[in-house]
Amino acid sequence: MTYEEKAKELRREIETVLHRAGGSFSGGSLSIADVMTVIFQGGFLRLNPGDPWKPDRDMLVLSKGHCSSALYCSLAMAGMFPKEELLNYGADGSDMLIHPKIRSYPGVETSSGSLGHGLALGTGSALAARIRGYDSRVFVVIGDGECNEGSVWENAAFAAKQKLNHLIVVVDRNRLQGCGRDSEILNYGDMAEKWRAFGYRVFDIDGHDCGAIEAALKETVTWNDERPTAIIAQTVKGKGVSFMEDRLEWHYKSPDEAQYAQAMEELR
Amino acid sequence: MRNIFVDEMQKIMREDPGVVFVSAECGFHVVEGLEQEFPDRFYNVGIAEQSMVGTAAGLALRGLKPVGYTMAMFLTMRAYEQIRVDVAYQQLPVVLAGVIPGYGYGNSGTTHHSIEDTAILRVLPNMTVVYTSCETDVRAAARLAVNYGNPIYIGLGRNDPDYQPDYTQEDFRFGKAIRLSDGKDAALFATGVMLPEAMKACKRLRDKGIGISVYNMHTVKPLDTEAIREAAEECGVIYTLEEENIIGGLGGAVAEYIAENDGLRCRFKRFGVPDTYGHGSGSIAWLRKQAGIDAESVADSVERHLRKGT
Repeated sequence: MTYEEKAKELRREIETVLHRAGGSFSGGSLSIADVMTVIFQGGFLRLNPGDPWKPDRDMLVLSKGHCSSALYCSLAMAGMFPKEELLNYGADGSDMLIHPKIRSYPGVETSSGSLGHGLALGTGSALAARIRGYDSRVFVVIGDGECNEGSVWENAAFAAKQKLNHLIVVVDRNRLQGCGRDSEILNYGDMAEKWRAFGYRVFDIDGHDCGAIEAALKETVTWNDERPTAIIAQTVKGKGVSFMEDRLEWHYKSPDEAQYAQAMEELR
Repeated sequence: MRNIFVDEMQKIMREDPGVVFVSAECGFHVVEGLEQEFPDRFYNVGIAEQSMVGTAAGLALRGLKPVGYTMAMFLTMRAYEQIRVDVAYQQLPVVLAGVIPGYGYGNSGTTHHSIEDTAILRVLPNMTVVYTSCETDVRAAARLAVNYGNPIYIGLGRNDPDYQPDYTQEDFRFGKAIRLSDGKDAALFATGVMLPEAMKACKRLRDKGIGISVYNMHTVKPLDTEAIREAAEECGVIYTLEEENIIGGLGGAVAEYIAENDGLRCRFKRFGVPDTYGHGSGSIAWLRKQAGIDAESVADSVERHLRKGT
């Protein structure tokens, strides 16, 4: 199966979970679907379903925790737990919180939901791996709106200073945050330039071009650069479902029956 | 007590390769020896408390034993949400060392005082909150903390070299108060840097014929309710003393326990900072005097309370 087909499957799983649970955040979950697909399906995040917490494991920290449906579905598709578990998303008494809880399921590495936390957790984990001599990769997926948080930049500088080149930050540059467009709110402009200025090796790519994502990751894991990597994934919020694409309200809305049916049709 | 803490940590790090020390630009002329001995296990994240706490939590994700070390007010208030989400909620074994809480920075002023940390930390689930009073406390707490396996905050106030209580590191256990004197008229539960003041107050009262049992309540959470019960039954009068705001601190914790336990019939009074930032510039001694938490003020207040009920 190609990355594109896998990404479509991930998007179908995401919308199924969100429809069933009445869940929000379709927009930001669909925008990272291609990046998540290549990281998970391309072997860049080396998972061990049989021993998911071994100390030298690779880790993916989903810092934009509201888009957990993309994480849970990616983990299930990668065989970390049965797909039936996805029925627990947001359910009373379940461990599958909409904003995830640490180690609730294999591969859920951190609690997230409060923005601006994941990078420092990833940095600490990458630092621990270096201290221990582990060949571990740490992916941190953060939103471009999340980059409003000062804590992101506090820690971005530290990770660069420590030359943590096994830290791979993916910035989901969908340009649409909770109350409007980035250009209208803080206008971060050239996101790539900002990370470059903080000392990162930057790949500024189309975040829906699986080939481009794979190429950036392949280049990163040659480890021929001492800087941490920042992949600026230029994306469209709600990507793949026509009526969700680049629409603010799909940060919040949940697909009803008709919308779900149409989404599934478009994602066939 | 920060020098003692860093000294003990340096010894611990020789024995335990899992311990990692993370500072947020704190420790000039204190941490350099540790940094030089362990260049790959000492990190200064810069003036960035949120980054420090998050990084420490990240180190714990892979089983290391991080110690986050920086000034108490900035650690607990600037990085409060990282303490809540990254450390307490994730229940990671991170040691947070708060340097010089209370009035310990004296005439540096109110921005540098930390009179709220007890109240805001003890409200966090999974969090243990400890204040050391002397070298023995610090060395014992440091050793216990790195292997505690749970989130813990240790407030490290200024050391009073004249205060050297007569117990050993083995007597120090989190959650277990240490009784320092025996008296039948009242019990005084003090924490952290208030222990020297409490013992001085005890002596002043003894000279006036009033016997006070002083307890080192180094652990504010979990609270040693057995010791409170013992004191209530023996003395019938309980006081608390802390260099923290009167609201929500040790006194608040003890009050909550007494109020909900009908069997405890005792009188009760808290000594702490009277809910104000308004004392102006001043030395530690002067600030304590204004707050009524120096030995003389406490002794006078206790005497008045016991004799006249006010």
